[in-house]
Amino acid sequence: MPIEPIEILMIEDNADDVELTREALSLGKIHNRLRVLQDGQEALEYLLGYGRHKAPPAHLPGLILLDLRLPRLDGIDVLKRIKTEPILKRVPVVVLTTSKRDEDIVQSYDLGVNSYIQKPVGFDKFIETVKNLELYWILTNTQPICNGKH
Amino acid sequence: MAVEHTKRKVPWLAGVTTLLREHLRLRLMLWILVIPAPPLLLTGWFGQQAYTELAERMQQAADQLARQTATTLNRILSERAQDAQFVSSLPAIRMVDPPRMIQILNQAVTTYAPSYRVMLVVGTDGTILAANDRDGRGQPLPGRSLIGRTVKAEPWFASALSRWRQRQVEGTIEVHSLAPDPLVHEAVGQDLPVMRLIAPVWSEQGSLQAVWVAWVDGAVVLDALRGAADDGTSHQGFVVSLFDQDDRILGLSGRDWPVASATALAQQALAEPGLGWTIKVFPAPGRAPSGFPFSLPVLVLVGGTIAGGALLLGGLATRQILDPLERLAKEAEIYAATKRGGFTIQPGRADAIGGLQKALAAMTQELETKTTALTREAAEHHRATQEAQAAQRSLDMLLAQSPDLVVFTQPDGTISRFNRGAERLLGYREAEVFGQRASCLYVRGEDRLGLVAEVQATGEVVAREVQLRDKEGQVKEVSLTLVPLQDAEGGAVGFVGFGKDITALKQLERDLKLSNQELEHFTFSISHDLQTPLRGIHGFADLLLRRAKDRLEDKEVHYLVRMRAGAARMAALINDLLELSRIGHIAQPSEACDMEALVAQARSEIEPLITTTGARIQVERPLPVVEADRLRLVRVWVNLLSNAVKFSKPGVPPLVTVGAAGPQERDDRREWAFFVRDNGIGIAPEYHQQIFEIFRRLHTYEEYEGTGAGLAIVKRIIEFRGGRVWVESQEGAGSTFWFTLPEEAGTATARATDPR
Repeated sequence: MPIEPIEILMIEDNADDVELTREALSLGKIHNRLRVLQDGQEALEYLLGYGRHKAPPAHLPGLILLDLRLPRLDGIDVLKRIKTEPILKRVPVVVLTTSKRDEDIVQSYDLGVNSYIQKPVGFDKFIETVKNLELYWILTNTQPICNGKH
Repeated sequence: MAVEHTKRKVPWLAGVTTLLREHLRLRLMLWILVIPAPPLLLTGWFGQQAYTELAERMQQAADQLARQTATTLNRILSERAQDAQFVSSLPAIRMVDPPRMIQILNQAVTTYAPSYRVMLVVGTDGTILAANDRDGRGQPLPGRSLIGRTVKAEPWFASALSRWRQRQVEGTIEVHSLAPDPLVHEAVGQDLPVMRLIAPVWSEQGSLQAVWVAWVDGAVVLDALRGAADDGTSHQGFVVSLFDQDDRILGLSGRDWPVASATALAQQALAEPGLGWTIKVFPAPGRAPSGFPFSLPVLVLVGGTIAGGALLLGGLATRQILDPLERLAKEAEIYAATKRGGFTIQPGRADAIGGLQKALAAMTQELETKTTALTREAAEHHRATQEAQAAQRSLDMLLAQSPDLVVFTQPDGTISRFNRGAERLLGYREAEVFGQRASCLYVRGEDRLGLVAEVQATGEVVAREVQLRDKEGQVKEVSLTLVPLQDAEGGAVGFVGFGKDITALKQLERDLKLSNQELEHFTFSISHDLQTPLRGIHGFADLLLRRAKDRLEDKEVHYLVRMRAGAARMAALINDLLELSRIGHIAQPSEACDMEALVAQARSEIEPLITTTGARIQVERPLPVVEADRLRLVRVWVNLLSNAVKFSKPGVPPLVTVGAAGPQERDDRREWAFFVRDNGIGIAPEYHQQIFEIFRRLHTYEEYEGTGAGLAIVKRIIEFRGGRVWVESQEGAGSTFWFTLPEEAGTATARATDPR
């Protein structure tokens, strides 16, 4: 089985943000594959293999970028589910959201989020943030899973 | 002269006539002198003896009578007091059934008033509600046959009723004539002279609800009078009699004297105000001395020799004895009739008459003193009653007018008063809840038990917010104050609750809480929804600049730069606005903050600005450790330091000094003052207040960038922590921003979580 590049899963409903993230990744010379799912429900169905997705993905994402305000199922609920599912709980999850509410930050950390980042408005800062994320979570950080396998 | 005139006309005839006349006059005078002389003489002598004895006796009798009449009076008064007590203790008529009332009346007759033959309780319509059916010895009487009869037509009943209704005097007992009464005949089965007593029974609200009528055995009254008058020989010759208010004789001591002569001779009267009857004491006609010691000739002889002396003595006796006695009698009549005037005292007169005068004068005085005292007592009682009624009326009015709920409860928790405010608030009428348990008005009955327990434990007034339920079942929020009621000895006699309807207030509070939550939700929406499109604008403008810069003209590039800057500025404004709005209602725990560390952290956050401006920041050490919210305090330092660096004079590198002063006592607590001093452009005094307002800027964005929210955020954070912020500055002369923080801003909980 060939080693596949680590996939980043972005759960984000705002198309602008998705496009800006793609641009930021490419401007930051990051070539990991970016998979985008637009609501919380679909994200869980994809990750756990039910509903529209018959089976879980062959390879789990190496990093999940999670927005908190999502259609159908909220980001907090998605986070809660990910961190309680045995197969998913070790996947690093970074909340990437506009909210700076103390409650959101505290709740996210209580549920076991790996990082909480407020989306900067400035695009230059955004590029920098995305680049840092990649650097830290994909290259620097050692994770208990390799290529989606335990 | 008439005689000389006649002489001149017929001298001899006139002389004879005169002689005859003189003779006749002489003879007549002789006859007048001689014939009545002995009886006059005797009368004078014996009269002197008799009157001396009489006067002595009168003096003694008057002394004793004064004492005994007073005793009688006191006894009658004390009986009256007892009656009044009994009448006022009669329970509320509507609460007592007739058999119970009969029992009460029987008990009253047998235990303390055996001389009361008949006692009735009569309704205000005149119907007899109850009558005793036992006499003073417990023997049965046919009294029950009177129940249901009416005394409405009896003049004494109708007149007493109208008097009481007009005067509204409590506890009045009226005493009526001593005569047989057909009602009594029926009740006791025999004809008796009886004295009737009649008294009102007042309800607690002060309305007449029944009449108490009693008949006292007349023999008892007469015995008392006779006992006062016929006490052995010392009172022989006196009559003591009892008159009613219309001066009709009720009873008489020494019954052997005709009433008419006794009345005519009345010399002394005692009147007791309100009782309506009078005791009169007067001397009876004296008795003739029995037997005569001398024979007629001796009498004539002696009479002849002492005729002149007799005349003299008679005249003397008249002047010395009869006149003063007559005067005394007249004065007594006047006094009896008018209760005015007095008795003439002849000073220096040491004999019996003098003694009598003094005794009568003393008696009058004592009577007046007693009458005055009784009148004053009655007036005092009347005034006290009036005052009590006035106080009661004020209280009733207060309760009625009060818009708030006022509920009185008994110690057993039942409602005894329920004012109009309570009726309005809860929809019940007083009659509906009277005697019901007060806890039934509570949504949670145990709330009342808790309140009562607390009042009993502390002995003090307790105030709480409770929920009551009205007649419709609606919940009413009430701010209730429960006050314990005590009698004069400090014993608990119940509670009074004062309540204010705060239902509307509570609703407002809930609405406010709800709108705060909505505001919270709103700020979250702003933070997310407004910033997301901004990010798009900024991002795509940036991308366009990166990708198409070479193909665009300078002007077009400039537009894109302006667009991107606008989006960035708007994002900053939204952020500041959010931050400002969240300071007020999101409390952060306090922790010990080392101000030196906080200044260092703030300094590092604005490092790029310091580098670009070439600013120097000096810290006057040491800075204290204060209890505060670390993150927000860093924000305060960041805002103040960046302002100090930013608003520099063109061409002058910023020099910023940071320091602290204190701690100082202020309003019972210690506080530290901190300052940030710069050498910048300064602020004109008229702007010293305005600069702390949100988005208030003194310069264009191009001159000095920033949202204009920095100082507003500083002010909000510091004031939320109980401190103050101000500026000392002159235009062109640099600024010093001061803020204070209390030394103990934190709470005990916050200190417990202190990482140290």
